[in-house]
Amino acid sequence: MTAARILVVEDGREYVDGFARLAAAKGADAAFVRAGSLAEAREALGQGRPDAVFLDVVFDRTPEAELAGDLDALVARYGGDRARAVRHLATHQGFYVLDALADELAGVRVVLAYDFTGEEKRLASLRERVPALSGLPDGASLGTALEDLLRSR
Amino acid sequence: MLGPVLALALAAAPAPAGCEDDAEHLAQTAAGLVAASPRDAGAVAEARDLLRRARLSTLWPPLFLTLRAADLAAAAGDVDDEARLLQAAAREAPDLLSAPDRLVLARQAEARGDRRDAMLQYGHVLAAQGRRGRPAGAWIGERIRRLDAEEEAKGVPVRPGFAPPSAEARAAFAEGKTLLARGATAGARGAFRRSLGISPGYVEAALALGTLEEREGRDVEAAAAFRTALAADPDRFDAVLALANLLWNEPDRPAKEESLALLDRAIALRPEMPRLLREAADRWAAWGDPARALERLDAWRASATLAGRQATGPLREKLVASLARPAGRAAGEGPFAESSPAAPPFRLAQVYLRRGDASGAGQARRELEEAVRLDPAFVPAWELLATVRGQGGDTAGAEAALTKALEVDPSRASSWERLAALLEPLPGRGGEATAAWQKAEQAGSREALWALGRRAASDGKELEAVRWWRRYVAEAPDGLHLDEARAAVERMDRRFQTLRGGAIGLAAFGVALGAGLLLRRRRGLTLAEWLRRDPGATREVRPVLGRLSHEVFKHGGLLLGGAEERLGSDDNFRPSAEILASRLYGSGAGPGLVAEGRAALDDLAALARLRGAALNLRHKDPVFAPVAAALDTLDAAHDDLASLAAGRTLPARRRVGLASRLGRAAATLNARTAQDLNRLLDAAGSMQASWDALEALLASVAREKKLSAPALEPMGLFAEAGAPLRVKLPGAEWETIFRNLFANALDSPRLGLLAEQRRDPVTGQAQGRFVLYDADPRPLTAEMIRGRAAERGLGVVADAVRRWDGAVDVVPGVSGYAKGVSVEFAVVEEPS
Repeated sequence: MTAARILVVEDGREYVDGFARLAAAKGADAAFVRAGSLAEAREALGQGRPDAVFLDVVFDRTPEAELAGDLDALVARYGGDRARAVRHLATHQGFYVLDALADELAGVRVVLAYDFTGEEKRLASLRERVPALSGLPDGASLGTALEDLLRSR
Repeated sequence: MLGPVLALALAAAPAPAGCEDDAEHLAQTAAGLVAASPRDAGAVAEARDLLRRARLSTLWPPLFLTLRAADLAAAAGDVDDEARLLQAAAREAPDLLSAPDRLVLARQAEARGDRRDAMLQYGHVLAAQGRRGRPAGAWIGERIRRLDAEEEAKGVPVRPGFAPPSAEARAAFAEGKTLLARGATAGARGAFRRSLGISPGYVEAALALGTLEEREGRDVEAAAAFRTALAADPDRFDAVLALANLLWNEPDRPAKEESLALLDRAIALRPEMPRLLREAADRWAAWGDPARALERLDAWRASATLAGRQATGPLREKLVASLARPAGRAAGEGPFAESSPAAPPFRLAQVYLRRGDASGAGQARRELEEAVRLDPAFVPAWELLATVRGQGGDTAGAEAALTKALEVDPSRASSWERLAALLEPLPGRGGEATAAWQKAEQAGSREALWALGRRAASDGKELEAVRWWRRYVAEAPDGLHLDEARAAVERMDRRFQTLRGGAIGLAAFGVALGAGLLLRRRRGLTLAEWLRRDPGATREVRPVLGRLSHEVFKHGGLLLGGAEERLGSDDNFRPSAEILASRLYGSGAGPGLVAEGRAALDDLAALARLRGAALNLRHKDPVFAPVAAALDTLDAAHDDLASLAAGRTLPARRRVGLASRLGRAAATLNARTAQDLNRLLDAAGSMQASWDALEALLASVAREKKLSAPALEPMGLFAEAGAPLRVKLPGAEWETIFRNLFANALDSPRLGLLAEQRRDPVTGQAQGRFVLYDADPRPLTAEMIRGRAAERGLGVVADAVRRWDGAVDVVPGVSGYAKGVSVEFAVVEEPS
């Protein structure tokens, strides 16, 4: 059996390092691929379908040009306030990456680092496009997230 | 006067077509009648009747008919009808009216009280005479100035009945002052309210209550108290000024507009204080009315020093350059009916004084003398007359006026203040001035506190001076001399401190240290307390806490989770220690979690300071005190973690200690803390969108504008009476937004208000969308709302929407409405 291939999309390395350490400690057979932006995620998906995807939400270390989402439409929505539009994209980037990759992620387990507790309807609306989506409760440990990702195997 | 025009018009008129009711036929008949018997009143009356029929026979009567009818009305001596017809002609062909026609119109406009129209007609006469190179009569210019002053005087509040406070009310007021001096603010508030309950027109009590509320940051209550003071005495200078300053700091435009009108009023009441004119010039300029700003600036410059004039030169040039922009009009009529025949000339005098031109003082004096002749018990007129006489060098006349005022009402603080200020510079009358200041203080004057301190200091009684000034600083946050009083107190405090011996200093230090240790858990505010007091701060707090939650709590939880257990086992902990050390204390990539956490706490405290609050996160806050302790704990773990990361071993005792530290930090720095903070923010920064409240708000806005409220139709969720939406913005902002939207929609015969919930297509976040539909056909676009931010209060809406991460747009109308203004905000999701 080949190692589980897990794509981790985040602007830093907190999650991917943590998952790698935990997987090694638990003896789990998993390989982690990190992508720092939508373009890198697309490239990683092009190299093979992952077993699961982990998506961080806030990408405030990512350069503006690499943020996914229709910046012009947001600037118009916010009455020409470009800084506000960029800030919105950065703080919701995980959702925008999910939206952009929704078709390619059909059938793939996706864990979004967002706690949907109290917002179950929001999760349900997102599942209409990505059915195997789940959130990451704020109280959950990294181990719980890893178990969730490996459950797809 | 219209002969040549009429002859031409009649000559050009076609011949009768044989129909008796035809307009032209009727006009011809009328002309024939008058031509045959021009001096016969019966013929003129018959001709007028024929012309009336002619004008009624057509929807748009030709101009020649209207002019002919006006001529006949003049011939019959019916000036009302003549003016009405001339007005109709003026609307259609203004150039055809002669100067005498315009004078008739002006007189008629005056007779019906329409001063604006009268000024317009007189202005036409002046312009026509100017075009012909003839000098206009000086009386016309004078008449226009008088009418303009009378028109402006309509905006000066009138006075209600005047009732001195009862002895019981004065006793409650005195009790309140005593309690206030002891720092018992709750008791003082109660006493002032009790005093007002007994004598609702007790200005000093309302003023003291307003000052107390303002000092405690309760601006709404403070404004209400100052309004109470002004309702009882619209001319109470310190209430006018305090409310002007309070409202100027409010974000919404109606408040600022009111503030500007109040400041102008303060200028009229105290023309001897030119600094108010300077302040008014700045505020009118900031408001965007360069004409008014320039008027006030020029009035100030007239008495300013050379340096002052030079310093304000650039501002003046800027105002002159921007004069092309239109100015708004201020203030409507006051809420009270005239209670004294002296009120109209008194108001007119204020307008003359406010203008500050050369002839203004003389005109004001004449009006005030007329006011006190009409009503000798009208105290404000005596006071203002004293000011005008004093400025004119008539000190004896000023004193006589104030003596009259105090004979009518010896409990009036402002009269004592003015008398004291008048007597103070007079040789040999210093003692009387001090006595007058003391009377003013007993009557509730706050400026008297400053003056008595000054008198005491000049007599060498420094301790007494400091006592007065301390009270002034405490009781007069809007006081004119606040900065000077504060500086004087600090200066004297420093001197006294220097005089105290070292032993006293050490003892005080010891006491202060002990008290500090005791108080550090009590002083300052927790985050929750601050946000309850200042919900508007949640907007700025949210990004700081968002960063803290993400970087410190979520990442901290991931990093520290299980570390204690792993360290306690015999596993090789070195790889974990390397990651922990670099993430916690920083590496080349970033400052590390501990520094990030501390920076966020500092940012939070700095943010609070900027908004006038002092936080005590480290010692008092139930959420942040453990966070600060956890960051300290991680700091203390640095050396041991670095040793393990470097591959060195630790003695078992230190390894256990390190595990315990990491465990304690993990118990706090985790995602549960982030959840607690989010709940706190949501509770402070959200409010329920209630239909009843919005309906009541519309009625209130309409009342304020003295208009009837249009019918408001509930639509969407509002019509379904379902669960109300909880919008993520503070209630005050919500009210500001709808107050301005409603104020701009009062011309519409009906309104519809839609509420609906929808989801952001990308993030899935629940959004509340609210659309105010109107039936007003005038165009409005989103660009007009966003781009011309200052206009009509809609800029306030655009600002609030931007601050609270919402969106505003103009949408097409539905159900017969012309258009809708849509605002959208995140809402708290109802549990499924």
